[in-house]
This record gives sequence, structure tokens and C-alpha cells, in this order.
Amino acid sequence: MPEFRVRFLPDEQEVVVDGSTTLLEAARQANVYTGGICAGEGICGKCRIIVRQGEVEGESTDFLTRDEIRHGYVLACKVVPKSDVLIEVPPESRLGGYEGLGRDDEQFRDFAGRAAQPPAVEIAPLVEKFALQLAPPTLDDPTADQERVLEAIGKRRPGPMQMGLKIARELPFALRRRVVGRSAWNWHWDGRATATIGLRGDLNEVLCIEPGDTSGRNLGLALDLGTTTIVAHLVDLATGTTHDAAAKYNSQIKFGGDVISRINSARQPGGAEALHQAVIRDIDTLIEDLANRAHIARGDISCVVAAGNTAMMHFLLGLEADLIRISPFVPVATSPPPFRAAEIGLRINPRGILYTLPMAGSYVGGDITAGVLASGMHRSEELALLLDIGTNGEVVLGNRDFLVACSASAGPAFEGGSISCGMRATAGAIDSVRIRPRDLTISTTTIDNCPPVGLCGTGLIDTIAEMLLAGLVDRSGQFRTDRVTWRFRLADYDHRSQFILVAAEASGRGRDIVLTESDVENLIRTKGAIYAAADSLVQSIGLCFADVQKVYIAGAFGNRMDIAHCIAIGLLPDVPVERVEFIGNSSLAGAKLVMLSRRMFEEIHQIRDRITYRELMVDPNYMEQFTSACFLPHTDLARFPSVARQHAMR
Amino acid sequence: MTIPEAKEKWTGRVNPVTLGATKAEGGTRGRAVTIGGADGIPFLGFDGQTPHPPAIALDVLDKPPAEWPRPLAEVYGDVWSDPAAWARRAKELGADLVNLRLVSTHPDEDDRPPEAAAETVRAVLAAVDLPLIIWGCDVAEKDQKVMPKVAEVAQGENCLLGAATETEYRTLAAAAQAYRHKLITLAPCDINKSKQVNILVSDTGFPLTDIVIYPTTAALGYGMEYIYSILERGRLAALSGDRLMAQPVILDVGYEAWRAKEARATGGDADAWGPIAQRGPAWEAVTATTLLQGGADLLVLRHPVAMAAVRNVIRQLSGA
Repeated sequence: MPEFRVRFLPDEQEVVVDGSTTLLEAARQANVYTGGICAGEGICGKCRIIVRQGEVEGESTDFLTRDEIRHGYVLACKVVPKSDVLIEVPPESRLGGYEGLGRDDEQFRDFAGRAAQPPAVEIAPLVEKFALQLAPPTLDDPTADQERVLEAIGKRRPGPMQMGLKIARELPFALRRRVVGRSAWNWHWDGRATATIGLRGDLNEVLCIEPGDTSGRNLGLALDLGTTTIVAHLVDLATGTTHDAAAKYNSQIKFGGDVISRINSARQPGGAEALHQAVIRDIDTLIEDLANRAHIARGDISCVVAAGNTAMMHFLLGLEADLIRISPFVPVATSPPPFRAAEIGLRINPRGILYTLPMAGSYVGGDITAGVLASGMHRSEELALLLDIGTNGEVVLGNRDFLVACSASAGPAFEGGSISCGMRATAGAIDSVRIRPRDLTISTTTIDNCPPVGLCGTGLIDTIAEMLLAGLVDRSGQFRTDRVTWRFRLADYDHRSQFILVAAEASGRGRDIVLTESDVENLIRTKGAIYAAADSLVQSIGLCFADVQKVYIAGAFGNRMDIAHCIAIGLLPDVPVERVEFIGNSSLAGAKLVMLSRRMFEEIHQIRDRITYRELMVDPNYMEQFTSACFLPHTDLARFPSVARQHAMR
Repeated sequence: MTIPEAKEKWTGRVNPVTLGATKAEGGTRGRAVTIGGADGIPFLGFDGQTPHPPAIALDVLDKPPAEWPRPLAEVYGDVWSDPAAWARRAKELGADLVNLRLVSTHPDEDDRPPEAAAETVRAVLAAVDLPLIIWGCDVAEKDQKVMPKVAEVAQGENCLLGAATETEYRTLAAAAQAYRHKLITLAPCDINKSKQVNILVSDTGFPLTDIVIYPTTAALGYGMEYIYSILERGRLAALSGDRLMAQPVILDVGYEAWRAKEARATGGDADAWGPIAQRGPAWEAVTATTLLQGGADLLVLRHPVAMAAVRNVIRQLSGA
């Protein structure tokens, strides 16, 4: 088969492939990101690229307008080269979003969050360093080096202790200086050494013994392994303060935007290893950045605590993930034991330990047990609801007496997926929208005040809520095109009606920023899935939302999310606004708590054991609740009295 | 031993909806027909009252039907090229209402213009004094042109117009409201969707109390049990006070029953199923009487024998 050269702009990457290789695969080989969240199944329409030179061949698609096709747009997953080709990846398909918007970590400022304050917990880290000052052995006190060290450590950290052969071999050299004399070695007792102790199972393990006092340099890495974003915090284990934070997109995105697509990718030859390596490389990049900025050595990092959904954890550990996908949805492990980070290729202290937070099931992962821990709902008398709003929506209901959880496939609408002008919450994303009902003037704000290039989750929620309140959509999400404004572009035979939010002239992408009726449908399904999951869970134990005293919202929305708007569209139940609390990235917060407190480590395992998982897929009530919730805000307006009042006033 | 009280205490009732207007009410109908109004389970007299027994409309098409089988042709064949004459036949046979379908306006049929449809409606109104149910051709774009015209010429006659759906409801609701007609809302076999259409229509300002629900219909052997359970759930919701399900229900039994193979087939195995003259009416009557138990207020039928059978069942079950 003939081979062709495929060159990608603006990255200037080139790769040679044969004529049966899709340009999406070519881009993957060239390590060029081309958008797309469905891993080449042709259902997301996001891997838009422009053919500048050369010929390609492929299926037609409904995702492109005739105008775009004329301008050379194709979907990378749908075409193969027929000659050498020059491909431009347009801004909307690039990983970093738009040019000139800064580096990844700047974009992730809000994501990463730099809560430098230590959490309110008594500091007793999983991995501790003790500076030892040992009395020299004498004829009266001939205790062996090992016993001498263990006894000293035992006074600081009681409990069963073990020391490996490797450490024992190093002991005499850590405690003494060895000087080569004229006829023999001379040993000079020093007695000052630093022991690093980590928790492994029920034992404290001596991870290393170093000469001198290095106890001031003991760092831990807290990781939130999100499907979309990976966030790392560098934490001082002695004080509990957070030194620095870094975040980046999960490179696994090129294997699919959701975990199911990735599990499918993992079934290809070499796929599982590629996914595993992708996440290891991402973590390595973050460690490199953090270590450079903090002027520390990788060896100063003595532990990693990782939280993430069950599939991400399987990819991280290189466990078979396929069983998560198929009934009865059984993961390989939900509580992997602590082991050396080096075993999976993480380059920290070679004897440093990786801890993974325990998962409650295939679809309720360590990020959720961490969320419960961080919210404290498991300790409170108050009945609380925890909503983790992401591609998979997870819901936990409970208090100190019980915890039930469920998860619903919500879709990526709030993260920019399946929305024609959707994007993640990075610079240039429209994050708030107001429509004045009187004259329908629209005002928007964007992240970092950049020219608007797309809509992120909060902007999307705002747009639909404001359109609803202004009477521009009906309660089923159809556009009120009869209320004629220039902002509506009516459906033609192959496209749905569009609402022009920002005209091309005012946008930073040179095209109108629009919301289509299909976008609204996708959002309604997403919010309907989350609400229905919460509703089914609350009903399953014979309660209603009015009984819920606290609603915790976890996820990347942050405080920018307008609670009243979330209620207006029926994403959140109609509870008093003061009961709703954003807890941000609670997965990371939980990971840090665990890292800094052995009590929390124990507690999170108790939480895991206490969570009862309800499988919505076998709940006949769920589908009913879902259809009912696929309306604005809900078919049953009586559940949304505050919204009903607003509608009545209109 | 005392027998425990089995009577349910319902808090809601089905809305009574009156169709047709007499001279006194500004129309030209001989009498109006009220449907709905029940405050208990169908045919459980001790449970609640059903002030208006289910009404029956007979089908009239605005062009000769191509595929109606012989038992129906024998009843209507001589009049079905003239909708007015057909409507008169329906009245002679004892229908409470006339169910007029403007099928000839369908773009794939004769694509007749709105004016022609309006003329047909005018002629039928003149020919009989029964209340009218009027359906378009089920092509939204065309119906949006036809139905306002039809609503206009029938102004004051308090007809029942069909059908508003989740995606196409504005024009029809506006026409019904402007010319004071009642409205059918259609959501196939889904209570939530049904409520949603009612909300959308009522958000346009159309009163919920002027709506009749059409949950679609399925014949015996063709999924009838799905519709049955939807009817039953809807009726229980209405009786429990759900305003969005309190509308009376129309069922298109004739159309569905006469599509059934058992009602139409002749020759081969079908001859062993019994005489064709009885099979169709029987299929129609069994479908209708079964669905009535679930809660239906207005039945559209085709064959007079089926109509007589259904009336008989209603009479006996009502203890009248």
C-alpha cells in the first residue's frame, strides 16, 4: 500500500502513514491533538481539521456545513490520505484552545486552586521523616544499629515496624562516617540521621535512612486524576501547607473523551499500555514542573496520593479495565495496597510510596470517597447530598448513619463536549451571560477577559437559563423563533436552528458563537440525567429534596456557577440557595487530607465500606425520572416552586 | 364479620370538556356533547361518579379511502366520495360526534389547499348538526396552513382540533384559542411527554381545561397493553389531583383496529379465523371496551356493529 506524508500545522509535525490510516490516527502518531471526544467513532464531530494541500477521501458527515466543506474542513476520524497532505488544525480543535492564551498551568489557575492553608486536621502524615539523634553504642550499650534505630523511631511513631534488608545494609553508613586510614577503615560515629517512615498495610516501614537532618524536606504529591484534567498539588508533609499546584489536560483524551471510549481503545493491541504510559507521562510532566519551580529534587517527594475514578485508577496501575464496562461491572481492585511509586514508573524518591484512594465500585471511584471525606457529610447529623458534576455524574446521599451512592452517564456538555461552540473553562470561554428581557440585549463575560471563543459549562447554564427567563426558548428547549430577533438563524434542511450569542465580529474565533437547538437538547439530557440520578437516590430511601439540609457541588465549576440559574434549568433541586455549597475539587482536597492524616486514611476506608451503591441501570424508576427531568426545569413544576413563581411573574 | 371499606377517596377529577355549540351557545349544533367529569375509576359506581358516559365519534374522511376493507365499504362505500353525505350517514348510524380527517391535504395525497379543506369543513358543518372533531394530515408544515383556516370557518362551533405535539403546538393552539375551539394534545404512549405537551400548550395561554389528551392507541394484539397501562396511570394521576393529567382522553380505536391483520385478511389461513364481516367489528369492539376500563372518554370508531357493541357494554357496566 502506498505511503503518504501527513504534515500538521501549526505544530509542524510530520508522519508517514499508509492510505488506510485515518488522519486522526496519523495525528495520534505525530502526537498532534486534533480535538474529538469519541475516539474516532464519528459521533462527536469535534476532530475538525482543514486540508490545505493534497487529497483525502472519506465518508460524508452531518457535522460540517456545506460552507465548511468548501473551505476544506473534514473530520479527522473520517478521512484517509490519498496523497501527501498538509493539514491545519484549527483553533477550536487544538488542545490548548486558542493561540496566545498562555501556558497550560496559567489556564488552570482556577482548576488547580492554590489553597496554601493546611487543612483543619491534626497532622500525622502517611509518610513522615524523623530526624534522629542516636547515642553511640558502647560496651555497656551494645545495641545493634537496627534495633537502635527502630527503638528511636518507635518512640515517635509507635506500632509494628519493619525494615528491609536494603535499608539494613545502608545503616552503618548512615550512622557513621567511614574514613580510610593508613592500614584500615576507621568508623566515626555520627548518630545524626533521618528516617523516612511510611504506612504499608498495618505496618510502618522504614523507607530510607539518610545521614544528617533532611526532615525539613519531606514532600508529598496529591493527585486528582480526572477524565479530562489532571491536577497535582505539592504538599509539605511536615506543616501541611501546599507549596504549589499544577494541572494539565489528560493526554488520554486522544484515546477518547470518556472512560468507556478509553476502555474500548485499551482493547486494541498495545492500547492498554499506551493509556497507562500516557497518564504516567502526564504525572511526570507535572512533577517536573513542580520540582523545578520549588527548587527541590524529585527524591524529596516521598509519597503520592492519587484520587480518581475507577477506570482512571485502573489505567494508572495498569490493571485490566475492560470488566468495568460490561455487566456486572466488576473492577479488578477497589482498594489497591500501597506500593512503591517506582513500580509504575513514577520518578519520585525511589522508595516513595503510592497510595490510591479506595473506590466504592466501578462507577463510584476514589474521587467520590475523597469528596465525601472532604465534605465531612459522613460525620454530620445533617442529611447531605454530594453532586459531582462531570462527564459521569456521581451522587452521594447520606449522613453519619448511612451513605448511598449512584452514578449516571451525564455526557460531556458541561465540559464543552457535544456543544457546537462548547469548550473547557479556559481563557476566552464565556462564563456568564445575561439577557435583558425588555430588549433582549445580551451581555457576556469571559475568563480572563479574552475575546469570547466559546461557551464553557457555566456560560452554557447561564445562556439557557437566561433564554428561558427571557422567553427565547420554551420549556422543552425549542427556540421561540416566532419572537423574531436577528439572533435566530432558522433551520435549513441539514441543520438545526441557531441562536447567535456573539456575532463573528465580536468573537475571538472569527465565527459566530452560537447555541443550536441540538446543543440545548444535549444540555437538557445532561442535566436531566444528573437531577434524575439525585432524585432516584433520594426517593429510593423514601425521602425528598426538602429533607436534604446541605447540597455539596463538587467539580470544576467553582464559585462562578450561578445557583439560581442551575435551579432555573433544573440541574439542581429547588432547595434554598444557602443550602448549596461549592466544594471545588473535592477529589484533590480528600487526597490531601488522607496524605496528611493517618486517621483520615482510615476514615476514607470506612467511608468506602459504608457506601451502598445503587445501580440506576436496573432501576425501573430511573428512566421515568429521567424523562420527567428532561424539561425546563422539570415536567413537574411543583418541584420547583421558586421557578414557578418566576414563570408566573413573567 | 364486617367487610372493610374498599372505596378510594380521590382528590381529583377528570375535567369535563364540552364539544360543539348550540344556537344558544353561538354555534349551529343540534346539541353539545360533554365528556370527562369522572371522579372515580371507570365503571366503579361506588368509587366515584361518571357524569358523562364515554362518547363515540365515527370516522369521516375527506376523500374515498383506498384501503378500507369490505365490511366498511359495505357501510360507507356509497357515500364516501362526499364527506357531507358520509357525515350524514354517521349521524344516521347514531354517532355522538363526527371525526373528520382532512387526509386529502397531505402533500403525498392530493395536496389540496387550505381553502379546499375549509370548504369541506363548511359542508360537513352544514350537513349535520353533530359536534366535530377535525384532524389535519399529520404533516406539520401543511397543517400549520390548513388548520388556522379550518378553525376560522368553524368559528363558534366549538370543535375539537387535532393534534398539538411537543414540537408543533404553537400554530394550532393559537388557532384554537382565537376561534374558541378545543384542542387535542398528542404524546405517544408517554405520561411525561403528555404532561410536557400540556405545559407547552398552556404556556402559550391556552387553558388546560380545554384540552383533550391523545396518548395514541394500539389495537388488541398490537401493543394494546402499553396504552392500557398508560391510560390507567394517567387516570390515577388525574384522580390524585394532577392537573396536567386531568384532561379527558380521546382514542383512535377504529383506525388502529382496522389496520390489524385479523380485521382485514381474507383467504388462506385467515378464512379459518371466522367470517370477515364479523372479525373487524369484533376486533374494534374488543379493543374499545378493553381500553375503556383504563380510562377513555371519547372513542373514534368506524363500524356501526362495533359501536353498538361498545354502547351495550357501557350501558351494562354503568348499570344504566
